[in-house]
Amino acid sequence: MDRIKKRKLLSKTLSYYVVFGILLLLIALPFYYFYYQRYYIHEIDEYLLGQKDEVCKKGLNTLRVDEIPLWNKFNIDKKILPDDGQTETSRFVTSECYDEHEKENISCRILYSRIKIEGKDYILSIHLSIYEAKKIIQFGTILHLIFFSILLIGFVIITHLLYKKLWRPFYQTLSEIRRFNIRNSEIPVFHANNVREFSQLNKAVEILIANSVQAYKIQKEFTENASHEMQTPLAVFQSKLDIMLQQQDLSESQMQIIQSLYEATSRLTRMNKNLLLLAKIDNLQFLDTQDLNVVEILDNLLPFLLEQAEANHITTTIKTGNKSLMIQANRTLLESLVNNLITNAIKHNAPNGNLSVELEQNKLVVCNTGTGKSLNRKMLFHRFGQMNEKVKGSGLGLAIVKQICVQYGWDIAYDYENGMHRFSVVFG
Amino acid sequence: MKILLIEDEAELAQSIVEYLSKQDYLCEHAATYNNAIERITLYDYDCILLDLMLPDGDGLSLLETLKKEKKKTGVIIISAKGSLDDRIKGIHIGADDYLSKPFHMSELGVRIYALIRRAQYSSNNIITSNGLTINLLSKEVFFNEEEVVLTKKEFDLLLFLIGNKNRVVSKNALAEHLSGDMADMLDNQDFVYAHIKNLKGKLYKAGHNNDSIKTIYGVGYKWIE
Repeated sequence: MDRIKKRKLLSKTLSYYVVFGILLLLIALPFYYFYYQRYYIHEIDEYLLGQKDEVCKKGLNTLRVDEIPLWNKFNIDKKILPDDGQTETSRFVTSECYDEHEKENISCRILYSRIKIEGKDYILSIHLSIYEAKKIIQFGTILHLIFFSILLIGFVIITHLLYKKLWRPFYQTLSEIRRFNIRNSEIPVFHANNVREFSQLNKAVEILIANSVQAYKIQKEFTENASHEMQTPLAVFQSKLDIMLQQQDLSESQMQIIQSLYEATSRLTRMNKNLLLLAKIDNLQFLDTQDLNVVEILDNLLPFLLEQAEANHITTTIKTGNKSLMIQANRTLLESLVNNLITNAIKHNAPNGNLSVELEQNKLVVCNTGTGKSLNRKMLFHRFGQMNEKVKGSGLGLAIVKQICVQYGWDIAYDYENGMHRFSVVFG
Repeated sequence: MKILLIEDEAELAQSIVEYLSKQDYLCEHAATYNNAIERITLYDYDCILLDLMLPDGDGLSLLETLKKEKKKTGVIIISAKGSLDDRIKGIHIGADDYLSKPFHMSELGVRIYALIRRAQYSSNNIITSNGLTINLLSKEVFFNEEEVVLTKKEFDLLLFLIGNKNRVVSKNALAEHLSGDMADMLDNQDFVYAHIKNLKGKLYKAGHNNDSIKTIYGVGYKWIE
């Protein structure tokens, strides 16, 4: 979607108008030019016919052959020519003729017709200059072109000016929506405007936002309620175990049952806590960030984690160096990420395996000895995606890690190489 | 020692009352907001255990009332609302401690122990048990005038056991106490055993009677005074 070039609505609209305008211009101007020319010539032809009829009716029957030169002398646009037998008659011809005023050859429309003077055949030629007419048509066409262009340019300018004014409510709404943050559950107030479409848009967005805020609130409440509802029975269960443990006459086998129940409740508690944590990360409830030094966080967390590794007979290698690595994040989330990665590497380690935690530049790498094969990359970061019957995890550890990385735009990668599972997080 | 438990979940309340009663506390129970207000105005308590979600009112406003009356009662919030906001709000209004459900009875026991001891012996930070003298400020332990050098974990462990003396403390509770928020990530609680072993060894070396810490079938431990 991003590859599609985004253009302003204005230029999109205008480009259609401009293309239409130019096309119209290209078609209309030649059409105008040629149509007017044809119409004009038709009018001239009618005039020439009229002239011929008039000449024939009045005077030609009284004209004598010896008077022809004299007649020709007084009629500038009419001539009586001897019939050479080759001139086509009763036809209009456009041709060049010599003009006395302009002293040059100009375009004329000529009508030749056959007449009889004293029984002899003659050709009557009547002509009219179309030179001026052509010029007028050309001038008109140019005027048309100029006005049309002004119209088009004016249209573009006015649309530009109008666009800013007309779309102002839209941009106001847009900036309100951009400023909207569902976490503060503030429903934005849109400016009133007198455009029906924008009013409708504002109304629709208001409803949409109100619904989202409501849904977000319900989800948050649900998270809290679910937490309460699940934790209370868990608390009852655990407290009863604590009470039962105080009994004086418990046998060893009864104690073992109690121990199993303790383990089950603690696993249930852990799942509940992790589900809540995930829901809270999803709900963006960990928004407050601070400058954190990853080296410092590791130094705080590692003693306890290494103790765990030692209890599981795991050999550990730590390479954090003395440098500091500052990042912007929420402390709870960063600690959770580190804890989850390292405890995973302890829990899923092979007997007498190795664990290494390395910090290189802006990358945290946690490796542990695997049990022979690569993990399913597709399911690895899914909730309950990589459940292992032997290791009783909550099934949510890596989902939490992934979710934290998504929130901060960190890259998380998994590799399997030389029998080692390798998780690396690139900060920033 | 008088404790008021404000908790609407009857079964949980029963367990807490039973556990605390056996530790020589006089524990009263209020299941509703109104009942709790009534008791607070009528009697004085050394410690109040407060659930935030009550059927007829908000625990936080109860805490506010309590602080307005300037009662010196220590307050521990016990809540299913584990969110940081509530914790901060509660402590801000004047709660002394916060425990989110579910919690171990022994953890509750040691918190109450610490709270009451702080209130009563504010100038005295020494506790004694079975001949051991523990300085809480300097975190030093003495037996027969000689210091028993303990690690931080071992010291915490000892205090936890003494705070729940004569009660069986489960290995789970100890693991969670020692590791704080991280405990719920691990299944293996062998590290508790290792610390207990070290603590026992150090006490034995100092000449202390080694019967003080009793192991209960690998499920829990007990400090016998």
